This record gives sequence, structure tokens and C-alpha cells, in this order.
Amino acid sequence: MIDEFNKSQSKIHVDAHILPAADYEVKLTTMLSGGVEMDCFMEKRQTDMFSQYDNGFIEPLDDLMAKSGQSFPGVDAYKSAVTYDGHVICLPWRGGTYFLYYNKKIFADCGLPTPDTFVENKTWTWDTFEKLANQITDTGKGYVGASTYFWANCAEFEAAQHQQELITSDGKIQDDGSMLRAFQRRKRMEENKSMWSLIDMKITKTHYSKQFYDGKLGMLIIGEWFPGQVSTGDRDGLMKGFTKADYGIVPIPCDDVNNYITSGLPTSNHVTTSSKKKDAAFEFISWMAGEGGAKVAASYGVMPAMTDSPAVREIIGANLPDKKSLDYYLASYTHYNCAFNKYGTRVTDLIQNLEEEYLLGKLPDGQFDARYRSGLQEIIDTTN
Amino acid sequence: MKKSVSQGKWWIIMSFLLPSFIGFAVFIFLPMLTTLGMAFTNYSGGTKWKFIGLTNFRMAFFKSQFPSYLYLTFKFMFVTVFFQIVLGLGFALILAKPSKGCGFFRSAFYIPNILSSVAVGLAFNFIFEPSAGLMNQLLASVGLPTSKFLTSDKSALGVIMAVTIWQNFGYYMVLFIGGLQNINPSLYEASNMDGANKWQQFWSVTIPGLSPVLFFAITMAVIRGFQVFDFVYVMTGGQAGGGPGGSTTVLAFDIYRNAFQYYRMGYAASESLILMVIILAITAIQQIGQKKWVVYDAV
Repeated sequence: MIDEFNKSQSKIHVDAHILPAADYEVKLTTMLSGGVEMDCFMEKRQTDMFSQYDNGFIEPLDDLMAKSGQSFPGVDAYKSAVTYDGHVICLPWRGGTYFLYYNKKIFADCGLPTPDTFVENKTWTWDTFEKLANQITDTGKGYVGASTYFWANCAEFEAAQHQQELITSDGKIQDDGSMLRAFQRRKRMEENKSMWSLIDMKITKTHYSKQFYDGKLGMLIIGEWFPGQVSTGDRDGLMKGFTKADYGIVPIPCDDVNNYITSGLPTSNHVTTSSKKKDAAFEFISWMAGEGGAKVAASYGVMPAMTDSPAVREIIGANLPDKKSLDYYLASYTHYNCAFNKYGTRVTDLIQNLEEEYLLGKLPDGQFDARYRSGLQEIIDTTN
Repeated sequence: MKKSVSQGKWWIIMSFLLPSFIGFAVFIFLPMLTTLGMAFTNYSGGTKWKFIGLTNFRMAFFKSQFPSYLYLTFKFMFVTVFFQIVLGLGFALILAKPSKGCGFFRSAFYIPNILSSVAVGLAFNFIFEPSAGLMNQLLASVGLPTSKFLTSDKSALGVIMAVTIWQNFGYYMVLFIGGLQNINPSLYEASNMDGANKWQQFWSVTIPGLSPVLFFAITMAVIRGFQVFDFVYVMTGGQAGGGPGGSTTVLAFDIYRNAFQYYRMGYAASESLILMVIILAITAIQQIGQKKWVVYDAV
């Protein structure tokens, strides 16, 4: 991406400093707090931007956007995810939507209808998903019905679809029981072996792509970047018993099929307040957020934030298995994300911890609400 | 004015001490002072912060999981110190006298100590992998029940303790071998003449003779026990939050999370300060207590 930008013009040269993904957030925190000279940076954990902005590390972009005279379709598409305190504080370059990816060969082998059938019938709910995953596992052919990754935001889908913020920006607890329902579902499915064990995959660092590549996983819920990993897996011969043409994409399940809501946050870039070259930094992140960056992102199989250009759509289509998947992938969805505010990072850690305790049987249903609410209250009381 | 010899020597001594003193001041003393100050603020990495008195300490003790993390840290410290010292002493007693193969075994037990903890942690991750790991394959091959090891909240901390003990007991063994070889052999001869058996010799000659080294080893092991972080980070999830259900969240790991993941550097500093006070208090208690059992004049 950076090489392409440097090649695309001669005025600005971007010198990239690559941080390893596993330690990205921690290294970024240290660099920002330590005053390392840096003009712009990519946000990996989106909820960190609130602390960064409050600490004065991030430059509001409104003036720079106005000065540029450009349009920013990615900002319009993800307005709530890029705005804080009334200011646009980042430009998204990658889209943010979770999808369900399924292995058509496994469904055929099990004699089961593929998830798109249920989407078309308007019966693609979480109960249908659970039932389908159980059916795959129950065939006894060694398949695991489904996997949802161990990240806490993956446990928040149902709460997000019920528009429960968990902790609102003004410090109020909000949950209608969706979180417990999601935990209960996962536990039932794990006990039936129709869901990959969350704790196993976290501690053994089993990557979701490996689960899918191995050809034993029926359905995988993961972000919009996954088609790129499938393309890589296909190219490198990592996929066992199936190819890129044998998978499909549908939206994640939702209980209210007539008022569909999905989850996911775009990946964005910020300009730092300490930058002495803010105009140049802004030009670079604008390019990434625009058609130039979108074409490069699409060519790697990730969804750009800006998808309304026909050229970009054509590149995206080349990376996807079929027309139906492309339509689902590029459809316009309503997004909602739990605790997308200054409490967010700690809330996701709390959810992850409680989910693990719940799955281990250490947190009975009767005690869940009290523990959950006291954990949220502790976060409210102890966040600056 | 003519310089005196002692004045000249003083400058030579200071010039040798200065580089390490600068290092100590810049990398240890100043950060300690900064931590001390930060613990009483809501500092979160940026330029906006304020003095909040004892709020961070009140939050730690009354509004967070801090006491449970402290409990896990103590548990880890007690278990690892006990086994490191007992195993280190046991193997030192076996390997102290030169015999065939003792050089090999001394090296074999000491080598883990010089390996990188990250590399050791990753290697043991493979060994203790629950489905296809070497340990479970070994257990299954001899008909023993397999375990979930790091993926169970009941065993995750135990596995980390075991790896810590495995990596470190060789270090204490080497210290004890040095201590044992310095005990005057005539003390054993005298005790033999007095009719003491091996057990009596161990308690009346070996332990008193070894007590200065033993005291040093226990003090170091306690301090290192409180500071455990690397194996917790590498073996149970790293940035993803530690072992199952918080089962490996020791204090140093919580400090790291608060400082670098939640931008709560003031609070993390207060946790560090509490940890430092605990370590200082225990070391002071050991220092006072050693007068009753450490013998420096056994000849």
C-alpha cells in the first residue's frame, strides 16, 4: 500500500515503520506516550482512539478535510466510527463488517442446505445457525459445525444487534440479557462439539484461517478481510480438500431479520498532533481512504472503506468465489458496535474474561448478572 | 597545591563507579521516582493529568480485582520458591562432589536458566498443547490420563509454575554447589567422630554452613517470584488477556495491561508501588529473620 502511494506521486515519500501485529497496540501506546516522531499511524484496536484523542495524540481532521476539497465516502459510510467529540478524527481505509464464511463441500457432504438458503428465506437467525452447526457435527464425519473467534467483540454480536451499548458514553450500564444468551449458546455448542473451543483456540493460538483451511470447519464468523486470507491459502496450497471456489459468504445471523444489523468497525488512520507535516500526512491517509488505496486493498482481498467505485468493485469481485457472495459482501448494512467509547477496551476484556469463566463452568447463570454488572460498574468507576 | 595520594585514588575510584552510577540513576532511580509520583495521578500517557491523592490505591484495594491478582502472585511465589530451593539444594547435594558425569548433569540443569524465557515459553506451549502436544502423547502412550494443561483454569498456573521451576532451579543448584564446596571438611570429620549420622550432619553442619547462600537464594527467588510476567504473557494469551478465566493474571501482568492496554498508567504505577512495598517488606523481614538462622562464621 505504502509502496504504491510512493510510486503514485513524487511530492511525498512515506517512510513506514512496521510494528508486529501481536504487539501492535502496546508498541503504539509506548511510541505515542514516549513522543516518538510520527506523522500518522494506523489504529488496530479502534476503541483505543478515545484515550489517544483525550491524551492529545490525535489531530482532528475537519479542517484538513475541508481544505482538501475532496469527498470522503468512507467517512460518510462509517460516520459514527470515525467521529469523536464532534470531530472526524480518522479516515477509514478498510471496511468493517463481520460475515459468515462457509465451506460448500462440507454442506454438500452432509446433505444440508447452505446458509444462503436461510438468508433468502429470511430465517437466518442465531437459532438457525446453532441448529445448522449441530447438524454438521452430528453427521459424525469429523466436522466442526462452526467457529466464532475468541475475540470478545465476537461475543457481542447479539448485544450489538439488540443495540445494547453495554456501557454508554455517559457511563450507564445497558444490556437486555443478550450477552448471557450469547454465552449460553456458545456453551451449548461447545458441549455439542459444534463450536470450536474458545479457550483452546486462544491459548494454543490456533488461527481461524487454519481452522478453515483444514477443511473440517463448516462455518466461520470473522471479518471482511478473510477473502484475502482464503486467496492466500488457495495460492499457497494450504487449503485441504477444497479450493477458493468452494466457499461462500453470507451476512452473520440476526434474530430480527426485517431489521438487519451487523457489527464491525473500519480500520482507520490518524494524523498525530505532534506531526510537523500534517498536510503531507493527511494527503497520504486521504489516498489510502480514496480510490487509489481502495484498489490496492481490494487486490489483497480485504474490503476497502470506499467501495462505490466500479473499478474497485471489479477487483473485489475477482477475489470472491461467486456472484451471490459478492452481492452479500458489498450490500449496504446497518452497523452497531457495543461499547464503542472510552470504556470499550476494558469492556471487551471484561467480556472475554467472563465468557471464559462461563464456558469453564465457574460462573453459573444465577451469578452472571451480578458479576457482569459489578464488572461494568468497576470500569465506569475507575476509568478517567 | 600538591594532590594527596588518597585524593588521587578517590578520583580513580569515582571514575570507575561513575558509568554504572549514571546507568543506575537514569534507568533505575529516576524511573522509580517517576513511578512514585505517577501513582498519585491519573496520568494516561499524554500531557493532561492531575494529582488525585490516594484514589488509585483505594481503587486497587476496594474497587478492582487487585486482591485476587495479589493472591495469585503470592501463590505463585510460595510454590516456585519452595520447589526451586528444594530441588536446587537436592541436586546440589547429589552433584557437589566430583564424580563421573557430574559436569554433564550440572550443565544440563543449569542450561535452561540461560535460555530466553520467551523461547522456553513457546517451546512449552507446544509441549503442553492439549490435543497433539508431546506431553499428552507421552501420557497417553503409557496409559495415563491426558490433561488440558494451559487451557484449563485449574492447571494453567500450575504449568507456568512448573516451567518456572524447571528453568530456574539449576541456577540455585549452582549457587548451592559453590556454598557446599566452601564448607570446611573438618566440620564433617569432627561430626563423624562425634557419632553424627548423615541426617544430623545435614542439619547441624550443611545447613548452617550453607545458610548465607541459602538466605541469598531465597531472597532472590522471592523477588523473582513476585515479578513473574514473561511466562504468563507468552504461554497464556499475551495481549489476549492471560489464562482461562483470569487464572494466570498475576500482579505484574495486570500492571502491564493497565499501563499499556488501558492507558491507565497512574493506576499501574500505584500497583507497581504496592508490589515494590510488598517485596521490600518481605525482604526486610527476611533480613531481620536471618539473624536467627544464618551463620556467617562457620569455619
